[in-house]
Amino acid sequence: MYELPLLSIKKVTKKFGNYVALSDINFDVYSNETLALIGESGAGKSTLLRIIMGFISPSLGEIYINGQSAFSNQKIIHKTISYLPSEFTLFDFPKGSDFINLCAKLNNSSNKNALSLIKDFDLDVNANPKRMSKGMKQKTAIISTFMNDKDVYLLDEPSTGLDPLMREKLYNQILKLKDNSKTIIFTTNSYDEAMRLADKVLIISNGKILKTININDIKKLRIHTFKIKVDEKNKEKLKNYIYDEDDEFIYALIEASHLKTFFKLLSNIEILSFETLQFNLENYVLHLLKGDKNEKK
Amino acid sequence: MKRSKRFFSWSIFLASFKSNYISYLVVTFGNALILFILVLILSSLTINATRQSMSNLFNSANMERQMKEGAVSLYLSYDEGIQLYNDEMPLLGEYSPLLYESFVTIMELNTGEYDLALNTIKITYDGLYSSPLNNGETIEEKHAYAISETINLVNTFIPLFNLDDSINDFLPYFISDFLDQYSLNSEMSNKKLIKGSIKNSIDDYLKNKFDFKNENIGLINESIDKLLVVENKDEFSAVALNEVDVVVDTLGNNVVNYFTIDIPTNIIIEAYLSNKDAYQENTILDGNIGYKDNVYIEVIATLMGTLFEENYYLEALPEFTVNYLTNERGIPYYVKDGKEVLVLNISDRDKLVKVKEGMGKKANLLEKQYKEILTGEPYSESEINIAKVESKEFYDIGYKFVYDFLKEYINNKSLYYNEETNVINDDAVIKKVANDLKIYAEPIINNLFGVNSIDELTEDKYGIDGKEILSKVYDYAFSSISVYKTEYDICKVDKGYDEKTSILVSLVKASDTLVDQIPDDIYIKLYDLSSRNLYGLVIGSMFFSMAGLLLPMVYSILTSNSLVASEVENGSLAFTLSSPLSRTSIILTKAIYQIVSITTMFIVLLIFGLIARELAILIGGDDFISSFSVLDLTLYSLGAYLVILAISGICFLCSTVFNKTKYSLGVGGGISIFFLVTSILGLFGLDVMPLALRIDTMNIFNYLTIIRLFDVQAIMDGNVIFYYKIIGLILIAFVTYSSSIVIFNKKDLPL
Repeated sequence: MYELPLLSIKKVTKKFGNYVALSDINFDVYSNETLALIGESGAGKSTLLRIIMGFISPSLGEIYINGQSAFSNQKIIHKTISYLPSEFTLFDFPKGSDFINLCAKLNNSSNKNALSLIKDFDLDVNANPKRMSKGMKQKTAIISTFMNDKDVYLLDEPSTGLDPLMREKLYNQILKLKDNSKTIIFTTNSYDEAMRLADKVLIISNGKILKTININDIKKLRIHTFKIKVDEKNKEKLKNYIYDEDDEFIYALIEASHLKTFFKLLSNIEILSFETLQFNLENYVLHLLKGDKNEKK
Repeated sequence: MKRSKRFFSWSIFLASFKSNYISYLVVTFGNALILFILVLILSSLTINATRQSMSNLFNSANMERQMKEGAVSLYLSYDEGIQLYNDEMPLLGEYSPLLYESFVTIMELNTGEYDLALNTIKITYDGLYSSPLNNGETIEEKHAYAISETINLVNTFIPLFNLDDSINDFLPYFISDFLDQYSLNSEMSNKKLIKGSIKNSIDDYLKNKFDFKNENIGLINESIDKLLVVENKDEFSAVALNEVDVVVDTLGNNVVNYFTIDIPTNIIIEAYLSNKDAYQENTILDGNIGYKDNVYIEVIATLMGTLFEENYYLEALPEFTVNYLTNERGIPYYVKDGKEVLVLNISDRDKLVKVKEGMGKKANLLEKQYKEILTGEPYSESEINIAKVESKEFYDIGYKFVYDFLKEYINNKSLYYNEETNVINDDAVIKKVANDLKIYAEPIINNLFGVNSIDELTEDKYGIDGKEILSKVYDYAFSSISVYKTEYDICKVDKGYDEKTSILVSLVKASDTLVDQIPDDIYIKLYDLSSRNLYGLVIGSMFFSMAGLLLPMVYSILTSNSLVASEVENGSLAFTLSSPLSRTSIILTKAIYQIVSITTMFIVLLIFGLIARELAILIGGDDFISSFSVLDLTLYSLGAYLVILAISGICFLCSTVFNKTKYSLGVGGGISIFFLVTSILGLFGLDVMPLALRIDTMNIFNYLTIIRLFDVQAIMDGNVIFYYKIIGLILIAFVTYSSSIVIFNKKDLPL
């Protein structure tokens, strides 16, 4: 049976003057799906989120939420989505709790959620937002976003400024939301984060979606990474597996199904050094992109 | 879900307050405190008293000039009065009735009334001529004998002629000339004989009797020509009176040394006719003054009343600024070949020597005579008429003073006049003038200070004591008369000016005050300063339309920016904007917050102002009651409030248009500060500024600032234009706030 996407981005293009920030973006997000948007800064991730939130209007294209056009009916956006901006300052209130209270009131959120989140993130709500560290501010904002009971959570670089411990707590919260069948869209530049949290990853570069990766599929492939040192003449033999190299080493990504063939090939050449590395999504993506490039050529 | 439909959110309102309350409180109470202190400071300054004393300075100077003019005029008229009474009046008093009687007699003779008598005279002459008693040898000797004997006979039978006694002296002259004519042509009718002889006899008679000068004979002859055509007896009196008047007036300038004055011969003749005996005998009928003396006094008082009127006529003409150099006679001049050339022709005006810019002076009495030359514009008919009407009043004043003085003089002649040496006792006259001047001064002082009685003028209320002024009047009299006498001698003797010029020049010099020497420009500015509502200037203009705007303006700039642009720039707006609240309700709540905060700010300001005003009045700032009313204060606050509302609207609009604080502050704040700075500069070009500080060209700045839509001067003047102008401010506020809402609803927000 055909499932209606919760969020549907159709042909969204955004131009600022002559500069094209987003170009023909199309994707769907289904209920209970977690989507990561990866890209360098300036790639257009935040712009895309702002368009989804209705803060800025697309030059072309449309956003649908539950099949309804969103931009002309912003109520539906704010009813459905809880948003965590990436760059923000908290209101100039005397206490962090003032800020959280305001957000709670504006969104009709329950205090219970807020209190449990505050406890979880170990936030001193009496601190003056002006004197808060980047991490504390981020926590305050995260609490203000997560305490809202919405269908979709739009998180713009949620882990920025958090120490590893807090980042872990954030991940747990996101996973908790996931368990509660919430839909989550977040931007990040950490492939590890995407790998760990997301179901689907959209690689965005220069305002375009370069690649859509289904994390579950990758996991199924069980990809291995090797760091190998061979003579210059033997490099040629391995070239189909190499995704990267430096002065000394070459790096190879091998899907489980190809391991046999690969090792056969290795047995015929002189190996100067061999090391197994942890799987790295970023490397894999680079490898894929390289493949795409070669195909195009 | 219902929340999002609302246009107002308490949460956002309170959040806005939490973010901005410190600056709100600082500005609100800071500004209110400044006003409070300012009002209290002003209460201790007694500005009105300072202003009053300044105003008094001008009133005093004005009064001093009027007093000095009055003193000189009184002195002149008393002095002249004594001289007239002693020298000219006896002559006029005798001469005018005689001339009248002569003229009536001539007309009666001419109409044949005395033909019987004349025929008798002719027969008598004929008889005497041919009488054996006539011992003349030649025809001439016989003729002379007959005439002289006829006259002797006529004198004996004069009652038969039923002539007036006063004419008796004249008869011999007439009979002699009449018979001369008759002897030449005995066939001629009496009428023709009279015509041929009467002029000669009158001339001879006047020459002998009054030392009448040859050059004036023609004047008499002209009158006789007119008399000889009158046939109707009823007209005799009027014609005779008129002709006497003509003769006396024409000769008057030689008799009375003053201006062009109509000598009131009718007074003399009417009095004479109504009681000839009392007139001739100077009988005391009532009071303690002789009948004729009283007539003399009336005549002199009339003449001097006219003198007062003429003097005051120049005073009453409107003042103007003299921007050309004039000589001491008030005549403008130009310099040619190093010499002064007087301009008495308006076409020469372009050659006049200009005084330094802004150094023009108020025209004095002398210069007023040359207004057309000095300004190119003569006095208009209405100005002249008004001055004439105003000066009429001074006729009565002069008349009364001179009349009273001469009455006193006649009873105390020796005090004022030495009849042996014919010298006036000047000291006594001056003393009298000084005493009378106090009476003369009182209504003028009352008028100048706007009081009903001099007793109301107290140091406490007016900063000047009425009695003290009166004591000064005494000094004015002595000093001005002494200057006048010296100047008059210099003018008349050394410089050889004519009488009228000498008097006017000396009068102007004698009544000159320190203030009269101030250039007109400065005088007007100082006078303007003395008539200012300084509370309106300091509180209305300086505080409410300038200093008191600064803090609320800074508040508006900063709050506008912090409510929108700053939240956009720092991203905090994302939290509110991602809530179910609509953009309209967010921006509307923010606008309402700003409007409410500014409104309450000015309500607090007004309350502080009102309390300070009451306190100021309590601690003695009575001036506030009249010069700084509750209504004025309320309107000042309203005006300033609407200015800030309009400016906050502009700032709010900038804050919604720009996403960057630097642009929002730069443009919104820049425009606001521009308005404030131009209004400060423009203040120097406003009517509200005292003239001394006003630079009219700076008024151009007032067209560049919306702050001028708050018209402080209109409040002070109670002018309704204030209400029209503030509509402009309300419109600006409405347009800017509503466009802010529209723009915010549509714009991209980079959150």
